[in-house]
Amino acid sequence: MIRVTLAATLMIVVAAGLLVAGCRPKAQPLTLEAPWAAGEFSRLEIVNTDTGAKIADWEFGVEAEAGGQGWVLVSLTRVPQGTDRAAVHVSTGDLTPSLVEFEFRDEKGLIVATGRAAYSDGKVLIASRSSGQDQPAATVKLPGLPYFDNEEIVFALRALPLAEGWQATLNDVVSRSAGKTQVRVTVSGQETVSVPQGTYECWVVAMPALAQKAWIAVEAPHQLVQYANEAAKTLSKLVEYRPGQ
Amino acid sequence: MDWSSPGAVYEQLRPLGLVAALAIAGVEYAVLVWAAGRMGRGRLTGVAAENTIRVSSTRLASGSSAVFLIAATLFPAVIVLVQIPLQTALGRWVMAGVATANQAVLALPVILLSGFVQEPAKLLVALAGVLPAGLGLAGPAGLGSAAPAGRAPAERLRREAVRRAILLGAVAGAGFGAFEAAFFLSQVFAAAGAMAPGLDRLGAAAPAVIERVSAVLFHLSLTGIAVYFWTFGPVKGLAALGGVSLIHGLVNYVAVLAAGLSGSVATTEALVAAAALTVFGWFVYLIRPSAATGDHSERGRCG
Repeated sequence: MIRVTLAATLMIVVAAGLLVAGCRPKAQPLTLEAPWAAGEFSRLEIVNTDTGAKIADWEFGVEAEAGGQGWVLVSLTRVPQGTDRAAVHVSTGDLTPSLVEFEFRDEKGLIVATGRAAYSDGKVLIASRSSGQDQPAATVKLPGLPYFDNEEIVFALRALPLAEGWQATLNDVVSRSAGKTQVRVTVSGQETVSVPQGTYECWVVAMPALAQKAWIAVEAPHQLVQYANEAAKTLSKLVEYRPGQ
Repeated sequence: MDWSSPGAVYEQLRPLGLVAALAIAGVEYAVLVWAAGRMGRGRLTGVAAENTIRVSSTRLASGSSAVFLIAATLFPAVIVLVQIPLQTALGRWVMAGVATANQAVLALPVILLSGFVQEPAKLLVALAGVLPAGLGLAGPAGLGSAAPAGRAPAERLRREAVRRAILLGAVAGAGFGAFEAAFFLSQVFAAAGAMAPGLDRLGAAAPAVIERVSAVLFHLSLTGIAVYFWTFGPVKGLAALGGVSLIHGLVNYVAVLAAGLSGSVATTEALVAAAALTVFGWFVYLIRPSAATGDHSERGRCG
């Protein structure tokens, strides 16, 4: 009897965990509308929230694909030691990625590493080269649509139909580390945020599992105004913005 | 935390973390021995006497101590050289072959693997200590025997299973868990030490200490259970090993899930503590003293 009770207790503990895991919401169909135009440029300054010291510049740019069949969404992080650039080629409608190109440069501007993630046939093949050496390639099987590359998530947040209480689970392919995950996104309300670029009424978009939060301007073109990463103890604020053509 | 090599793991140990871990392991082992003598029917004298652990034998003490030390020192190698490479390879295979992005699904096989690496490692260390500790039955010994020379009575076999479980299994589990605790607590104490003395520092370290108390108890109990059943033969032993490995992996999985979903340290600690106490209770029940003279209901039972 005791043996049965002990076994049952253990099974209940495990089953509870599995049940909670199984209740995780699945990715839902999303209606996306890209609010940007080709040529748009944003720059945020990343600050350490403990010390207040500036850590890096975080730049975003939008380019039109040749033939107007898609966008190239570029994010660039500048630190004193160099730059980290990612360019994601996405379709115009649902922002589905087709290619991601990574480039890392040192403080002298010399390329130290490159990477390429090619989306095709239900998989993404990731190849990289570092210090002149090819690294082992990796493959990630893609989840069902819609999915986004992690390098474009910030752009995708701007294209979502944000509203008070809106929430969704996004399939996030982390091509940088050959992984994938689901990111739960919740709009917790509106806030007025003042940053060097100006004062904006923003949707507060929380990603609790990542301990990250984005403030997206309510008015078009829905700029990324502020971004907080609690785990990394950083806060990024919009300091420069140029709309596209 | 640097898991790049076993040496790197050793370098991250700190005296305070080591002392705390040894204290946790020592107290829990003492509680186990006390509980094993108190549980079950009958009084302490006579009935429990057969389970009383007398560590007067130098060979017995040195054998158990060696098992503890070997299990502890093997922890870095088991994790760095076996578990992490296997989990990395399995993780890549899962990412390449499974379509979902649901972490609860993707993480399951990788986390389960931890139990199937650590439990066999601890069991091997414990069983390797049978002869050195002088715990073999007359006849075949070493990696467990169900057919000692002269067909020992079932009760004698059970007593041997209890002795091995307590003196080898629980010791190996305690050693392994103690090193793991020393490693994690060293990091936590170092981080907390940077804070100002007072409640903040205590609050930073307390959850980790509580978690390690549960974890060491969990390690100690699972290996004890595996060794107990192995004494009755490799068939029962392998089944028990599979069972404890699965339990270990599943509890790790539930703990990771709980931490990710609830974001609450308290929830995770409670789950791990519940699991640890459950398996500890099971272990103590298995090794409880037999009934008083005349009650043969325990004979032949393998727990």
